[in-house]
Amino acid sequence: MRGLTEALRELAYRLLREGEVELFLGYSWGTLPLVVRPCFATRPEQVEAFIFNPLCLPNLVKYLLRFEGRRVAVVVKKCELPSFRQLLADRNLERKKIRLVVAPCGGLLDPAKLQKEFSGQPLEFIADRGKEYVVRVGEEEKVLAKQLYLYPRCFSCPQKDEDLEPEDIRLEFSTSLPSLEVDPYAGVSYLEERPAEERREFWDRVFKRCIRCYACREVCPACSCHECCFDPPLPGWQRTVDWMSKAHWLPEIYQYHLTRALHVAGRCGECGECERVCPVKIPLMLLVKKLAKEIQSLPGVEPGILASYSPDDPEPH
Amino acid sequence: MSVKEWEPKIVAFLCHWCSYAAADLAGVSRFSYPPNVRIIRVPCSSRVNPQFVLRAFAEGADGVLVAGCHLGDCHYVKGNYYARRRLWVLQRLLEFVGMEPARFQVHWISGAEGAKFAETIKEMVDKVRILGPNRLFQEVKDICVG
Ligand code: SF4
Ligand code: SF4
Ligand code: FES
Repeated sequence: MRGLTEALRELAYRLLREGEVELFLGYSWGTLPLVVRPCFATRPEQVEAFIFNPLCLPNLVKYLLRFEGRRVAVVVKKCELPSFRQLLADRNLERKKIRLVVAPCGGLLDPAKLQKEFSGQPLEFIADRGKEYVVRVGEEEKVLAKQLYLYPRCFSCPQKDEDLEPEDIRLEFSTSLPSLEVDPYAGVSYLEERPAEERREFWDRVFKRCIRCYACREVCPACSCHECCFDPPLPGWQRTVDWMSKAHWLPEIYQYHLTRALHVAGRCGECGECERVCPVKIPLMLLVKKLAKEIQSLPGVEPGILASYSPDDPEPH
Repeated sequence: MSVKEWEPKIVAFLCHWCSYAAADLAGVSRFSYPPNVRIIRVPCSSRVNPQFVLRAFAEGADGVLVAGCHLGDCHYVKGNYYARRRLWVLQRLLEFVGMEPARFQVHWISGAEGAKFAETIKEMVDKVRILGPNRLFQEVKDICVG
């Protein structure tokens, strides 16, 4: 997959050199093996750091907010397009100034699973053979079956990249992810069928772990308000209610999570970032997927679903 | 903490134009209903931000009621339509995390329905009494309240 990385660097080099963009947002290796981090290049000589491989997990679209009004190219995967469109709409970003670079992705791999197997040795990706990746570890070549190592969100890969502007760029590279036909709501349905008591115990258990670091909010492209109800009101800003204390207290953890789920309901692009960044591995996607599932059953589903109504809505009890 | 017999605590958000008037009418007409309900007047049912409901539970409510005008009768024309969709979603979410459905109810009660108001409160208090204190959302409540 060297070719893909090369093509990406070439593209970034060209765009920066010709001044088509001021900033190119992509990925580079992090300081730990198997960990990839976002990389920002503003000068052509910086493009050597860029990479693209199945470990490029982060969704970069939220960084666009930091560079509002500047000409930016950003690397995205297909599954991040819904969250990009949402951000564009919510914050009224200037689409003309943004160039999407859609990277061909044959499915991401879960670093946690790889970590176990390769105990932190660096991997070099050689090829994508549809159902498996070929990698080099040290001297050896190995085959990784996607079925085993796939990153959870890729099981429900949207497999399409629509609504691009003519200026956007699709990187050509042969990758493929065979359709996996996994029910994206399987986890939700499983939990729904458990007795209420068991559900309560489950959420108590996972929410108790939450340290309210708000990483899940910070990373979320659907959470882009200037002023958030979970922050204490700032002097100079509109005075709002202080909704939350800083105490590690289950009632407020519930309040935080249910509010967050409701705030992103109908706008969440299911990019899975909230769950990925959580330091204590809270299955946050269960909550947002539950709401996505419920909202789909409402008449007239459209953006801003909770800011509208239909006379045919179901009755609460 | 003194051992007192537990009584359900219900927080009711009533819209000013209908359900609050219904509560008033219930009082004037001397319909009796249990004293377990704490009424909060809101301009319209759509004023009820789902966070109000979550906050009430976090602060120790055993049940929350939202009541507004009948659909089509909202003083602000369509406020209760918005409220209906939003609160329906909130109900699905609360049930998903394991809350008993009877703890969070939404009713449409007009200003002329004093009897219906008293009846709704009675029924809700009975149901919540059977369910017992709300345990979802609660952890170190004793330390904080006691
Ligand atoms: S990222 Fe995890 S620990 Fe941090 S606030 Fe979100 S759920 Fe809680
Ligand atoms: S809630 Fe999670 S999955 Fe949805 S847009 Fe935000 S970060 Fe992505
Ligand atoms: S004014 Fe009563 S519900 Fe809107």
